[in-house]
Amino acid sequence: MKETHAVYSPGTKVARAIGWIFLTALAVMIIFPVLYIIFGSFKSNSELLVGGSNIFPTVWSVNNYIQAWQQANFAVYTKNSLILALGVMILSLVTSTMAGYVFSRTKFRGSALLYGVFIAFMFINTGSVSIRPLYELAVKLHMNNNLFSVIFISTGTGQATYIFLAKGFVDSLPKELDEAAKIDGCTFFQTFYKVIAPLLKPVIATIALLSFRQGWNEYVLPLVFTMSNDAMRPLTVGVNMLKNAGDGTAAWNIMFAGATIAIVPMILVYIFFQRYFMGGVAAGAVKG
Amino acid sequence: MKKRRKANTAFRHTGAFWLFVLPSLGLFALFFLLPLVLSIWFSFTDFDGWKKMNFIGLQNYAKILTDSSFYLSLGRTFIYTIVNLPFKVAIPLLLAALVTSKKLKGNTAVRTMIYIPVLFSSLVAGITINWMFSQEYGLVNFLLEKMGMTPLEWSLNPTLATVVISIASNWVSAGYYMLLYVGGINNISKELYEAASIDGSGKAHTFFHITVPLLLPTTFIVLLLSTVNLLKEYALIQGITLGGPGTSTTYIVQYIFSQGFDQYKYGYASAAGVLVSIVFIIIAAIQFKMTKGGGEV
Repeated sequence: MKETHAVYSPGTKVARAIGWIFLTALAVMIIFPVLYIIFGSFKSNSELLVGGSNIFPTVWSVNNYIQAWQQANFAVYTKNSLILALGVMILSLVTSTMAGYVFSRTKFRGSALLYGVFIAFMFINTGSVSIRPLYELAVKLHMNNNLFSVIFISTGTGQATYIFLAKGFVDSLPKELDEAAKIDGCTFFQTFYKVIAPLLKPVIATIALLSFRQGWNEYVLPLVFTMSNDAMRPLTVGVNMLKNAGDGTAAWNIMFAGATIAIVPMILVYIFFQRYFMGGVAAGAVKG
Repeated sequence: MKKRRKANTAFRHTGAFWLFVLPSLGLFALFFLLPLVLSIWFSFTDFDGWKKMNFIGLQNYAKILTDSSFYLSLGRTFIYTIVNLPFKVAIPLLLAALVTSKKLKGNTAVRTMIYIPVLFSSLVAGITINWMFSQEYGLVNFLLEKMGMTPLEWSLNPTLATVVISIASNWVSAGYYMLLYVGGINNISKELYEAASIDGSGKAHTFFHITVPLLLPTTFIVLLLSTVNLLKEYALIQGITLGGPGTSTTYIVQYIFSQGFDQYKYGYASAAGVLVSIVFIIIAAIQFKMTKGGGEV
């Protein structure tokens, strides 16, 4: 909705005000639970169990964090989550920008077909069907007891979206760039990493954020793959185990702290990338 | 001259193509296609996860097609998907209109905040939503009581549990689809809006007669993505209701998982997975065909 300089009648003004109130309420409803959890993690369990709509704690305390840290191996979980998220991110960035580039630039029958297969599978990936075979496969490859298997599998199953975004973005870059580079004597690979890659910044930021999120939030895969090995668990699996912490009643305070530990790094990464990110998703999806 | 260069480099290009595609193709083949083929193979066996694995032909498929709980889960999934689809389109569209408005100060900050739930793992979303809708100390019941209403048993009533899942699902996806719409709105030419306002078109009129129709391609993408995601809803339910109360929020992926991981009927679960994948492919293909006229995906 673009601003205009037209003069509005009082009726339009009222209608507009109602619209804004409604939309703002919707936005507040979306963001409120997030703040409630983050601030709630500084409340005591008894204060949490009183309920109510007070968002800020009456007494601020970091006890929940200390307790959560002691009850679960958070230092290790955090390290594992970082390895997992960064691993998926780096691997996805490499594979998807390379593939996206050639899917956009090289046109022959095989390339279109392969691209179609990638995208088609992106839509139907139900995940559930292949977890068990994946585990069998990892055992066969002797990869079932390290996080690399989870990184490879996560990238292999999630990359179609990123290829889709990367291809869409490269499509919007003029072909003359490639031709000029070639005339200047660049090889195919040099053209990619000297000329194209630097221009991919927005879509790289987008893919980086989305794939970091994917790795950071991966739950079912690491759950199955780290079943017997506590030292390999990421935060998602660790936080879920907090559900059983405490004395039978739900220890909401500890879970809130665990949840906050799991979301704050993600939010920071998001804020770091978001300047590029917002445009990247939209451009890739709409022009793709 | 252009033609000759093309011919010269044709082979080099194809070679480079495969070289560039190799990393993703390798991962795709090894960790996606191979397991898929394996699970198709499992679907013809009585694999129990350990030792037993005999070829039993189409027995699993025959059993599934006479299993009423399979049809019930599938039907439940369809209802859940159809009921939620309008919200998956309308809420992000309205939010996008809000955050692209120049009238609203700090709309970038609002956009940033609305996207935050999208970042959450299903687990964190689950903890949050479970807390909001908790029977005794949840915020929603607290507000209901404040307004003089009786608090509701969100987790015990099948319909209410479905409502909670639906709210959660929209909560974690609205920000993402909103971004797609923001991209679409930014692509609409400003002259159109100027022309509309010169013609005396009001805000609402402009929104419904210019913005919404021109966003049709984006809407198609949102519809396609959210249909598939709703049909596959799993992790979120694991974080909130675990499929309960009873089986009232047990959707099809949940059903497959419980057949495999809880009841150790991997052969049977694989067969169900294959069948469901085929159904999903058909739905996605129909949707894709129907919407291709307007949208370029």
